[in-house]
Amino acid sequence: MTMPLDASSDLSDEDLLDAFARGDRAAARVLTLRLTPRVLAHAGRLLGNRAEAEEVAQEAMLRLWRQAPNWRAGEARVTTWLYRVVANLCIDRQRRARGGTVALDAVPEPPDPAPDVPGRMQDRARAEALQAALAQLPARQRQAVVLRHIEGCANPEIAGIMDTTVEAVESLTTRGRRALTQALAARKEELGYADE
Amino acid sequence: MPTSDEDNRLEAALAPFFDAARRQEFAPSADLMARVLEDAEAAQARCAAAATRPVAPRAGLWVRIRQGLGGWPAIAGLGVAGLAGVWIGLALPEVLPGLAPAAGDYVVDIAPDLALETGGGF
Repeated sequence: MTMPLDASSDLSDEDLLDAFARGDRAAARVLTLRLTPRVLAHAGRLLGNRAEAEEVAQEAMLRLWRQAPNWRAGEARVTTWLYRVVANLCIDRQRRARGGTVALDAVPEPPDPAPDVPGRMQDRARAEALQAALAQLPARQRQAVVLRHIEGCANPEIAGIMDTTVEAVESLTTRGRRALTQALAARKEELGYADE
Repeated sequence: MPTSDEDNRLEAALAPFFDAARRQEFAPSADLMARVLEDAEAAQARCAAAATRPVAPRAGLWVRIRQGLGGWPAIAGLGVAGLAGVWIGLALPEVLPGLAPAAGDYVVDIAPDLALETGGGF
């Protein structure tokens, strides 16, 4: 029954979820290793707070496990479904805590794989500046920009996740980019930002 | 709304920031991974328990009819009523002879024209 799987398994998320629903414990392990970091990252980018992002990530994964027996193959990608769940959970939290501000020191620490220290420092500075600028965007603009430019989703997929049209996604990302540019303009020299 | 050229310029200018954000991994803590995996195994255990739970065999046709009618008391009542109906049907001519019209009874003919066709004795 149990397949020899690891985190680099070639099986798709959907196949692994099917195996999970049939009781395959290895599939549970691979899905956990593969999806939890992505879910956590997405929640972190939307919330800007690691502790809250961890709670959202655990809840989103729990919903995936509960959904597994009823998962209908071919209807949606697992990651698309998870992005939607994460966004909804984040919006719920933000509504409950409206008025709260993003604590930059709560943003997750970056890893250490970069070879050169100056480049790594600039990377970190840019990522933090972007996170702060993202926090100033309206929730749906932020979600669209993160999905498009950081998660790398195509506009039709984003439209499915956000339950809207492709045209609306294009409008959200365009306005989001303009707002980010304005927010980052003040720090363009410090961050190596060339908008001219 | 910016023009397409302006939007392309903004997108290019922001690209290093998006690249930096993508390189910033959100490594989950060991504690989070353990909690997620624990949830996964608990969900699998619940699924397995539900799948192995014995299912009551489907009742037979007669049992379902009996239950549908209301059980043995209702069936007994129906039986008695049925037998009584048969008995009344067979015994009626003897026990109720007075129902047949007797000579001298006053009868009103409400459709005399029809009576011509039937040639009845009214």
